[in-house]
Amino acid sequence: MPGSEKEYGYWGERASTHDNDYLYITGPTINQEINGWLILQFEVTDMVLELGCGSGAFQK
Amino acid sequence: MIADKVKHLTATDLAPEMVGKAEGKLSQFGNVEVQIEDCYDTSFEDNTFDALLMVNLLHIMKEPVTVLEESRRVLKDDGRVVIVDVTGYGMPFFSKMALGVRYMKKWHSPAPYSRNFSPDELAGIIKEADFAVEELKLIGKDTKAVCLRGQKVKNER
Repeated sequence: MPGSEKEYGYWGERASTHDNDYLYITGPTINQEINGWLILQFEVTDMVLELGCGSGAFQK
Repeated sequence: MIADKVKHLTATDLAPEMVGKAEGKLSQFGNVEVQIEDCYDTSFEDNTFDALLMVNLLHIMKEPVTVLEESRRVLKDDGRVVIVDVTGYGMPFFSKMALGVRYMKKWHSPAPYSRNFSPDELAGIIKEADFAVEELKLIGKDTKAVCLRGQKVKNER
């Protein structure tokens, strides 16, 4: 099944302010904790695919 | 951070506006490609990737098992999924209410199909798509997130 406009259109409409809005909604602490866990999950040899990368905030 | 650590990262999204933002943010990394892809039906060959990353994706998808089945297809036999979903599960009542108020103040309406995963619910979805759970934890002092690493089960259905 293909992704629907209903699923991705919602986020496209919010892309311009997404990062600041997301930080306001969730708070800075959880994102630091997420990043701390994520970095431990990968190896230097990994070829990685990210689905739903959004604005790229978690890859940088 | 992830881009600095891995050999190559292909970052994808179906919303062109988001892909544009990600391109601007990640263009400094020589090992990163950003492109539009439908997570239900990507353009990649079978058995291509060592790891598949999904942050805040599955809890907003109508058919998360279908997304995981597509993930399984493009992962190598020993590949793994790395999943994070922010959730209201496990939050004190008033903290969860405050989270909802902040969400509505900024984004005005709930995301279609959005749900709050418990660790067990996310684990169940992963298993349904033939992944074995290697690590599963709920993190966060205030806002919570379910973190899961799963391994592709080698036997074909």
